[in-house]
Amino acid sequence: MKFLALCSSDNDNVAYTFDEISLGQKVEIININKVIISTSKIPKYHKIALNDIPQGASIIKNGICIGKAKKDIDMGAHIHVHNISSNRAVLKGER
Amino acid sequence: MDTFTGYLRQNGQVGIRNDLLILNLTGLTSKVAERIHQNLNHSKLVSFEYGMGLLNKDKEISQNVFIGLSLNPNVGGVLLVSADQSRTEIVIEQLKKNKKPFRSILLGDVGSDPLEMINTAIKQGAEILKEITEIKKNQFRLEKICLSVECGLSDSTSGLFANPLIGRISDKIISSGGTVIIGETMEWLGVESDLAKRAMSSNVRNQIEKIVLRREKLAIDNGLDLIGINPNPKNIEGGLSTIEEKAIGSSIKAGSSKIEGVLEYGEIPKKSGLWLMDAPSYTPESLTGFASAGSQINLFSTGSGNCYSSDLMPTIRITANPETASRLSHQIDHDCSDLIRDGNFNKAENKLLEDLVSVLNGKLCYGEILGDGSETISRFGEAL
Repeated sequence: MKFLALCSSDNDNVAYTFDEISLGQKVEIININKVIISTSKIPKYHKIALNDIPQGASIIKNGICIGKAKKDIDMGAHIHVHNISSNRAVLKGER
Repeated sequence: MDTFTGYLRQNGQVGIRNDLLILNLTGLTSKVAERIHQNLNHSKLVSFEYGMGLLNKDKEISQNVFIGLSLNPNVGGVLLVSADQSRTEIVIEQLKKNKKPFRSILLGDVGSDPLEMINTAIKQGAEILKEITEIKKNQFRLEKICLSVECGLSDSTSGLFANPLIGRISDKIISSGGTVIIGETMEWLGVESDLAKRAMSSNVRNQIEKIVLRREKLAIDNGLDLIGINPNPKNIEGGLSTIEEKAIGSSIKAGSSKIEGVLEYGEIPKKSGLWLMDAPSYTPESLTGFASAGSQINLFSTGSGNCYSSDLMPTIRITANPETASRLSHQIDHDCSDLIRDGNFNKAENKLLEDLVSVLNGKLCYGEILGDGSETISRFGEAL
């Protein structure tokens, strides 16, 4: 079985999964012809890291920044609220 | 697929439904209005439960929304129910100006007797229904359509598939000479500069940036962390992590046209083209704002399923999530989950346009069939 994900633009460092993905699976990023080994469990329609992303770096989707890494993120890891945060409407003292 | 059949109104607008709107303007008469509605088949009830003492923005906007909903092209005639004469007269003035059939009844007209009010109003409503159902449908071009676009309980499939598909329909309506409205200001956070670049004038460009920053500041000033609100828990479950990510997916519903201008909540656009409505994101309030602006039809995408529907604007519920489409087969009107497998947007666009035109022509949405429809007029502050 092939596990699939889709990325929306060339600069993106995340892709969206179309399957439930468990640890250590080969995930084919369909539109950029790249295969990534998952380094965590990833629910369906969630995001997978396309490369290693250092803490503080921007998360790019559709060529647009959707937030920043709260910690170092490994290629193949699940990207979600546990490891990225918004750059907008940030409360004082939290930036 | 460039034409549809609808009801021509005296002011030149075209409705896709021919409703009697019972519009209740005061809290004192809300039960009366409900009982009138129960006795009149084919009537729609919109009730505003607040009375005097509204201030500033609340006062101004509620008044505009009463007018906007009354003038919505899907409304063939209006029955005004109220305990407040001055509020009623402002709506009557616009109904007369637009030559829309109406009757009006005030609690004071019947010696403050609610039973008498119900009795008289049922007869008045029945007269309007006889009158408006004589109108025959005619054929019109899509330029007569004001489409509004909304998403609710989105997941990643919304932003990747359903919303870009809606965006294509928005472009199609605009290129046909019609009007499109998108709202939910909070969901432009992070893409406001891209939207601003599409503004028709520098004035509109500044306005777009200003209203987005104002709403962002509203969240900060109220000490609200957007996580858990927008994106909400269902969005997060569906894979959306930040407001910026949600905004990319949400704003794409508006397609790629130039932006004519920014509307106040419920404001009627002055001309055709693409308009942004500065409004709350919560679907019930948002859809009523669109209905008040004169939108006849709404395309409403969802990820995990959303059972809401406008009462006055047929609301086509769309999902690209195959699990949602099969789980909620009697709630979702349009399943575009093929896109996940084949990515064929041209095929999906034709299919959705065909479905849209069928609904314009009279095919019922599930919200209409199951009676899910409702209207909720936003409030903006305290009252005296």
